[in-house]
Amino acid sequence: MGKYVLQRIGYMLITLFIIVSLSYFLMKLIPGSPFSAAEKLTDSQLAIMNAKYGLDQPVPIQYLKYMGNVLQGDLGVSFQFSNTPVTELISQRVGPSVTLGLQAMIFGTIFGIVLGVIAALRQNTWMDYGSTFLAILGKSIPSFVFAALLQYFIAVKLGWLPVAFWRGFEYSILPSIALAIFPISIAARFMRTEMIDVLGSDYITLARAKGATPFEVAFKHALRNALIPVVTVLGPLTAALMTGSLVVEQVFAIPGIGEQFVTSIKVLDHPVIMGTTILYATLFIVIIFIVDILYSIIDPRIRLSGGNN
Amino acid sequence: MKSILTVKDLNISFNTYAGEVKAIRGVNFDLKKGETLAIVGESGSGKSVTTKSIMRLLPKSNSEIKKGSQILFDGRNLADLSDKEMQKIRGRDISMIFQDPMTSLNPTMKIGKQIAEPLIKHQKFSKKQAMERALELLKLVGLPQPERRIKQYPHQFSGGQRQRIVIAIALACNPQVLIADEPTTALDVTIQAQILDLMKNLQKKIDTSIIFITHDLGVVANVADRVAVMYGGRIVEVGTVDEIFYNPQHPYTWGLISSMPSIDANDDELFVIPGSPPDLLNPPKGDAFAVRNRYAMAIDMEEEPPMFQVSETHYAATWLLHPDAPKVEPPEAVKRRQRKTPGVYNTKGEE
Amino acid sequence: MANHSGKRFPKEMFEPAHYDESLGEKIEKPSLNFWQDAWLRVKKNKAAIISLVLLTMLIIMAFIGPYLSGYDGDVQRAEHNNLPPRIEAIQHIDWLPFNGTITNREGETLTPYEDRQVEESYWFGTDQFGRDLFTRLWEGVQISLLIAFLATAIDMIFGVSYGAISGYFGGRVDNIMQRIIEILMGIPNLVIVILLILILEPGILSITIALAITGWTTMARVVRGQVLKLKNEEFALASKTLGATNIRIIFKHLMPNMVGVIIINTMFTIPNAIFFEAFLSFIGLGLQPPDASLGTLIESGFKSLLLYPYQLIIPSIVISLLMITFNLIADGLRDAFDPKMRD
Repeated sequence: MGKYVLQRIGYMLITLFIIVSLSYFLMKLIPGSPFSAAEKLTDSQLAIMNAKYGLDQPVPIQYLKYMGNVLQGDLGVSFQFSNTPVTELISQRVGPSVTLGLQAMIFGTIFGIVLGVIAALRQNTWMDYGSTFLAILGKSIPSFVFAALLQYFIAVKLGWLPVAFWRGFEYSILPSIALAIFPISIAARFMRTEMIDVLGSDYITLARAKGATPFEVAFKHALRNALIPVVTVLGPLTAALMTGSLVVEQVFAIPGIGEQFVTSIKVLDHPVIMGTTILYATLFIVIIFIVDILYSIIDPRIRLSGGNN
Repeated sequence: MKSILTVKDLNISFNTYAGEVKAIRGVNFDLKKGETLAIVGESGSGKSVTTKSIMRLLPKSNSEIKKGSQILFDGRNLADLSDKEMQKIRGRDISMIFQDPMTSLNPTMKIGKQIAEPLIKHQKFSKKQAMERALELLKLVGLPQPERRIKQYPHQFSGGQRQRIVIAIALACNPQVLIADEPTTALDVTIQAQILDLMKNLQKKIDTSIIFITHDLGVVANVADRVAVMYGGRIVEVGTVDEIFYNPQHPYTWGLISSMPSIDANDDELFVIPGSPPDLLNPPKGDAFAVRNRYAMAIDMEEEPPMFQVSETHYAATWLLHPDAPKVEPPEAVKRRQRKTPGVYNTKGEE
Repeated sequence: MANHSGKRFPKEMFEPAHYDESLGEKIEKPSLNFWQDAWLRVKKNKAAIISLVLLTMLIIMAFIGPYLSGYDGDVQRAEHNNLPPRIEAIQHIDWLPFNGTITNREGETLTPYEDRQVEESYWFGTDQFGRDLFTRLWEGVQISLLIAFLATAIDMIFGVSYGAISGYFGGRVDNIMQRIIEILMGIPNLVIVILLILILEPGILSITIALAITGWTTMARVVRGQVLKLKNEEFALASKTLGATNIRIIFKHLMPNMVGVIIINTMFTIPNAIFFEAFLSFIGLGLQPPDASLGTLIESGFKSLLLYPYQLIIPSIVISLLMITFNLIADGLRDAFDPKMRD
């Protein structure tokens, strides 16, 4: 187990290195200077700005410097908010994004699992069709469309919840729901399939042959076995939540990382784009890693080995 | 001998997209106390469906035990019991062993707990008592190092060991009837023999009646007291193991026996029964076996044969036993067996 | 187990019947090929069939829709800006939102057509520049579908080839190719798509390329898995012993067995591409004006959501319908092709 974890961490670092390098060079390929976007600068002013941020040096040198700084936890300074370190910009905005992401993930997976279990236990009844229909809707309607519609009907028309901004829990409800519909639908679909699969397995028949009640069969024997694989969707869900947060934060004017990322893209604020990219990539890789480890802990059949798998 | 379980006029249908599949079409048999009844037949003949229906384990959504079917146990018709009443019988009075030990244990539950479960449920044992009894059961089924292994998960056991655990679960509450659905089919030949021996020994110890489902006549000869041969959702011949092996009457049983490899047969080729099982979506008129039967008569195409009595214990559903039917010669392999034991059909051999 | 009694049968009934060994071999069910079988299954799935009809209608509208209203989607008429939807035939049914009125934030009902003395009717209203939204909507659907189909096609061709080569040749080749995929899958798509679009500058082609570059890995993995499974089956080995070339084995023997999986995967990729296009437009990386896609329509609709909600709601409904129908058809196909579901 220890050996496997070390190997995985090594692999993660390599992946991360490749992502950061790739993103760096891709970013350097973006046409247009970040300084020309905002205001008209003369050539000499431009040269001064470039020198100030070290952009006058050859790209490989810039790259090496940047990587050296990243290793020391320094992501550079923003072009847009002059002289504010990227790490500071990001840490100011982590709060709302994390709150939103966690709320959506927890609410989404739990509600989705419940829906999926109900659908599987009441297979081919209106409850099953209802939950399947909800799942298809959640998977199909883009989160920003859903967010905008929620905002219009629930907040503007009915006035039940605040329209936008970030000033407390009630401000987080609508954006969390908008973000959660995707996890709900994925968890519900996955759970239903797994549960039906498990309910059809031999050991469930054996449990019934032992005289277990339908309740015991469903919750003592089937649920645990069906729940284990659901852990595997957490990785893709994280990626989806990151994507979703970009637009949902935009819709509800929430000062989170996603909103900042979109702004930085629009003004070509290279250091912020890079910093957010590194953050997203790290988060994604770490969550997939945690999921793998978690999976091996809750499923007694899986014993991690050091070899390739 | 007293019957412990009687099945009368059992009819079961499955509702599929294509229509109603009449999987079981009027099955009658009884299980006597302390005996082992083997049900043999090819895939799709209805042997598993019959036994699953005794346990009422068939999926409710698409299967139906027809009205008038009787599964009499302990003075009650199991076909009419509520689900709640049935849960009390399952695992306590009637228990079951399944074909594939690799998939019949819950992968995320320790085996001790799986064995203890019916004890806590039916016998109202405390957790501690149940675990002690589970340990005894593991010793009984011959699992090495039971104290250590009781805390392990199914994936840490081999197929043969797992089948021993499944047997331990089935025997936990000393059931009156044990249904074994091809319990050795998925195992290696050497392990098969061990499991069969175990079952025979246990039956003597705890005095339970066994319904043993198999398609393997070799296994039947080894374990059974009586044999019922199923074909196309019906029992076509039933008798003691000697009657079935040495004096079979139904052409399908002839086919089964001729297709068994035997040491003293000098044929180069093994006999095969031509054709495939009948389509129970549209069961054929007359005898379901007629189209595959070289001894078929005109009447086989028109009328389903009734059960003809051959001896006190031996019945067969074939028109060949009708007084008007011509005498036919059974195949060579069957005749060879008949010659070996002339006349004596209703006493057991050295077993 | 009563002995037979009663009914008597004539003697000739006990004559040997005509016995034909081949009769027993007769298979009762008619045999269906792969496509017939799959079609039978899809046909039973009502949701998939309704979706198929709906989707066909949407696709037809994407092509003929822009010519139906008689307005050019690019012509700006400032005096006709922000007019709500009005369809003359049903404008007197008050509960339908096509009566040419709009409610402002104070709850008053406004009648801009009458106020501004506009004679024409715009079925889905107009945008802030007075462009006909009905025409723009279907043009947008056309472009969104085009991007989705293009990206999916590239995905499919590249993913299938990559997966087939990796799986078929195995060993070192497979090892290296799989490591590459693993690293690619470790990168959040979002980041790569955004960087690529910034480099290539937003447009139909750049969006398509960005989507294709990030999308093919799933297909490659699925196809590789299938090839690994199939290449060791007897029919492939038999062909190999007969001296068939690798190319022939892959295309003649393995491909036909993977068609189902590839189609299912493709059907799931299309809605994904539609989503990503709209997503990119929404964060400002979409098509540049005056081109319209569903994403850009939603984006500009969102900007005027408070005053003119119809500008957001109509394209939202259409994109949701597209996504739902594609997903339901894909689900139906998966159930139809999945051998586990056979009954």
